[in-house]
Amino acid sequence: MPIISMVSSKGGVGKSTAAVVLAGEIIDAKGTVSIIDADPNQPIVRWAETLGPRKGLRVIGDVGEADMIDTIEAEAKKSAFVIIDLEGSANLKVGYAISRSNLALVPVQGSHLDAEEGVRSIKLIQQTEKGFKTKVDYAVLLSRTNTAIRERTMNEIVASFNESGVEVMKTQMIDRAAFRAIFSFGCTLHDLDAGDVSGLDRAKDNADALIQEVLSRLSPKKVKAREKAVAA
Amino acid sequence: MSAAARQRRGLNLADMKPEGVTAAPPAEAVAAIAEEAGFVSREKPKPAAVPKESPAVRKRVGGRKKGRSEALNIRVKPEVYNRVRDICDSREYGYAEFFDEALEAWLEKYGSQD
Repeated sequence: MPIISMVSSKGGVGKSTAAVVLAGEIIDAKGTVSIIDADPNQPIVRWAETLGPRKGLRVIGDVGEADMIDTIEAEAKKSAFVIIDLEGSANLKVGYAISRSNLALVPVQGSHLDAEEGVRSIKLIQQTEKGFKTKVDYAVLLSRTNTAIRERTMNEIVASFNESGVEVMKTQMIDRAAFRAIFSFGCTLHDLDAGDVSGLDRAKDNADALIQEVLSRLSPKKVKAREKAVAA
Repeated sequence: MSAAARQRRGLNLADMKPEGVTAAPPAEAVAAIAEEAGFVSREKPKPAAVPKESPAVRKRVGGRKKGRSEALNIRVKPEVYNRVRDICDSREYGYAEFFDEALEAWLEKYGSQD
């Protein structure tokens, strides 16, 4: 029952893109997924309207604070995966989502401001773990990165997270035209043709690496190990 | 990634079934922790719905008949009605007299509209 939250109190860091890319991989692998679009701008609801009905995919929008927990719990009974795309602000819905999540991904672009907002979300995750003696796995997901240049700022940010004991996902969300195209065209990566957008194969590899890493983090063995660590 | 490559990696999620939520701390406790961390409610409490009431219209008692034979039936907003009532009451006018004077004032202001 993996529940995955995309968390950052800053907007425009790639939460919705990561959510849609992951969901696209899940339905392509015949899985079922509910995306809860908790962003008031409803980017994923709009994406889904263009996409149309897809087997295995449910998109739930217009979720307020009062409905958040009930919606997560209801969707966890309907789909094998639940992905929660949160608003880019520090609000109560983030707390509710984290409390029900198995994994929280914190997208961070190569800026100190993103990193600071990421840290803010990570602190909330840590406090939730401490408060409820539970384990929410979390990791920073570097997003919109450049394949050619690894900027100095990005290196500093990664080093800073590593020093603080915060894991950074090995897979990065590279800034690719194909990831932008899925919103422009209202589709998944697997609906695109190579002629539609450049670098489609590389984007698919990137998406595949992301889902593989997410699944490995959610493997029962790893989850048990983390629970043991918390209990200790 | 090709379908063959994906199969090699064994990504088939068809067998994964929904299992519901296992960790479910109470919402109030979650909210307390979130608010302590600065993740506060951004939703304003919805104001209780107040039924829109029209101002009550007071019934007029009595009236005058001074040879006026034509009826002028009009509908006005309750506020206008009550203002006219107040004026008529304070001057002990009937509506017809008010209408006469209102017409005179109008003609005075705009002149004859022939």
